[in-house]
Amino acid sequence: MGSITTTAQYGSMTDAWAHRALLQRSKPDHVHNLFGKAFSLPSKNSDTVTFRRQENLNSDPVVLSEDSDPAPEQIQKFDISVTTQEFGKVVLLGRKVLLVVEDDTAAETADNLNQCMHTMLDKVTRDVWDSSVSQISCLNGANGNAITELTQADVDRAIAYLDAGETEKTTPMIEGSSRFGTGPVEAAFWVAAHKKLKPDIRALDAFVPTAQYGSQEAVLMNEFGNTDEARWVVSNLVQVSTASPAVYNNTFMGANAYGYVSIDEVATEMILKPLGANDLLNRFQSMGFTAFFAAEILDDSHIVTLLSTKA
Amino acid sequence: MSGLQFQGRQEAFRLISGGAAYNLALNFQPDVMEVINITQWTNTAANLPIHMWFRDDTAAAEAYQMQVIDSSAGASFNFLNPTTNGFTVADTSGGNTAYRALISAVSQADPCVITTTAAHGYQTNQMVKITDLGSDMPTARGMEQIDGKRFSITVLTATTFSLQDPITGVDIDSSAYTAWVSGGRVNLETRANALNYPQQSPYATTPYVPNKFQYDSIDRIMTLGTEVIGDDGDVVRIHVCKFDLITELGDIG
Repeated sequence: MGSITTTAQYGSMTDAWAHRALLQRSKPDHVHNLFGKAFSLPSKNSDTVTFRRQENLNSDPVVLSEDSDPAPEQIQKFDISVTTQEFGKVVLLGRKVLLVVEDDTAAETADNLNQCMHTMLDKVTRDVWDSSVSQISCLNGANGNAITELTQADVDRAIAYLDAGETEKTTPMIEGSSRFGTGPVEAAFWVAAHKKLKPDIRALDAFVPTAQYGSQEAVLMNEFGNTDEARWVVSNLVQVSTASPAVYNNTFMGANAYGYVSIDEVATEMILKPLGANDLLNRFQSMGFTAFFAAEILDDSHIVTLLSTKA
Repeated sequence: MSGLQFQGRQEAFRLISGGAAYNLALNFQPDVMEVINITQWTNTAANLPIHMWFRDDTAAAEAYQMQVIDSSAGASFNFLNPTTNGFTVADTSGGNTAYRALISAVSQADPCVITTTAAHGYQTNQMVKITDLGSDMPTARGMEQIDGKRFSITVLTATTFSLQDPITGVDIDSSAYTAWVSGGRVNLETRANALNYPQQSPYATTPYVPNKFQYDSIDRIMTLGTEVIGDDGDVVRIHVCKFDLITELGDIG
C-alpha cells in the first residue's frame, strides 16, 4: 500500500481557512442615558447652556385684609450651567490590511466605533452621577461592613428620599393579565445597578423578576425586575469603587432628574475618510467619531444613589 | 508632504528657569523628555547640562542626568541617577470631581454648625444636601430634622460650615433638634447657585464662581524638579517626544 497519497506528503496548501464572518463582540449594556431629558444647543451660539428653575412659592394660607394687599414674595431661582465638550476616537487602517485581511475589517471597525461612542457617552453620564448625585448608605444589612448589602429597608429609604422631593414616577403601572404566575407592576422609579448585585437584588423581599410582569411589552432590554416602586436595570458599566470591599452605586431616579446636552446638527458624527484622504500614496484611511456632549443633574431631589456592598 | 497624523508627536520648549520646580503642561503623554540647560552647558560641576526621562523605564521621581567632562584625554561622560527632585509625572485624572464630605459632628446651636472629617472644599452660599442621618436604621444617628434636606451654607473653616434656609437665608437653629450621634453625609449640590444669592457680576471683586457640569479631561503634566530645572536665570530647552510605537525586540543576545 505504499503508493497511496496521503496528506502527510500532499497536504493542504494553507494551514487554515479564515471564516469571513467575525465573531460577535461583547456589547456592554448602556443604561445611563436611557432616562434623561435631551437638550440641544443651537449651533453658532455657545458651548454652555444654563437652565433655570423657580422654587415653589410659599403656600401657607394668607388671609387678605380688606384694606391692604399682602407683602409681595420674591421669586427664588435655581440656576444650572452645563458646558458641552467634544469626545472622540479615531482608527487608522492601512491599505494592505484592506487588501490582505480576509474579514470585512472596515465595516466591523465602523460598528465597533459606533458602540465605542455610545459606551463612552454612557460613561460620561455615569461619572456625572457618581460625582454629583446625593448619596445614602445601606445600613440595615448584616454583612458587617460600614456600608452593608442591599436590604428592602434601605431601598425604602431611597424611595422615601425621592418621595420627600415630590419626585414623579418615571414608569406607569403595568396592568395584570390572566397569565398564570404574573401580576401587575406598580408605577415606579428606575434604578440603575451593577450586574454583580443581581443576587442581592433578587434577595430583596419585594423582588419580582420581569418574567412575572403582567405584560412584557414595556420591559426594557436590561431590566432585571422590580421591587415595589422601583424597577431595576443592570449593567456592568454602573459605577463600582476600587475600595475593599467594593462599594456599588445603585442610583434611583424619577422624572426630570437629569439630562444631557448636545450641539445642534454636529452633536455626533461618524467620520470615515477613504484611502488617500490625508496621504500622498493612498495607503491610509481613517475612521472615527466626534461627539459634543454633556450630562447634568437637573434636580438633586429627584435622583439619589444608594451605596451598597455585596452580601 | 503628508499630513497624516499618527500618534507620534514631538514638541520643544524654551524657558528661563526660576530656580524652583516647574509644572510643564503637555498636549500629549510623552515617552521621552530631554532637558538641556544651555547656561550650564560648559559647566563641569554643580548643575548638570543634560537631563533625560523615559516613560515606564524610570521611577517616578528620577532624572537620568548626564554630565559631559571635557578633559585633555578627550570627552568622557558621567551618569548620575538622583532619586529626588528629578522628573515627576503629575497628570491629573479625568472625569468629574465629587464634592462630598462625611460628617464628624453636628452642633445643637443657632446656627447649626456641621464639622466634616476632612476639608470640604465648599464655598459660602453654595447648597448642600444632608443624608444618612435620622433613625430608620439599626442604630439611630440623630439630627433627623436635617436629614434629606437642602441648605445653603456659610463656610467657617476648611472643615466647618453653618446651615441656612436656602430660600430665606435665615440661620438654622438646631438647639432643639435630636442630638447628633454618628455618621451622616454632606452632598454638595454641585454646580448650583444658592437660591437666595444675588446675581453676581463677573466683574465683582470676588465674583461668585459656580461650578459647572463639565467633564474634566486628563491634563498631562511633568514636574521638573530642582535637580532638572537649574538655577534662577538659567536658559533651558526642553525636547519632548511621543513615538508611534516602541517595538519590543526582547533579549537579542
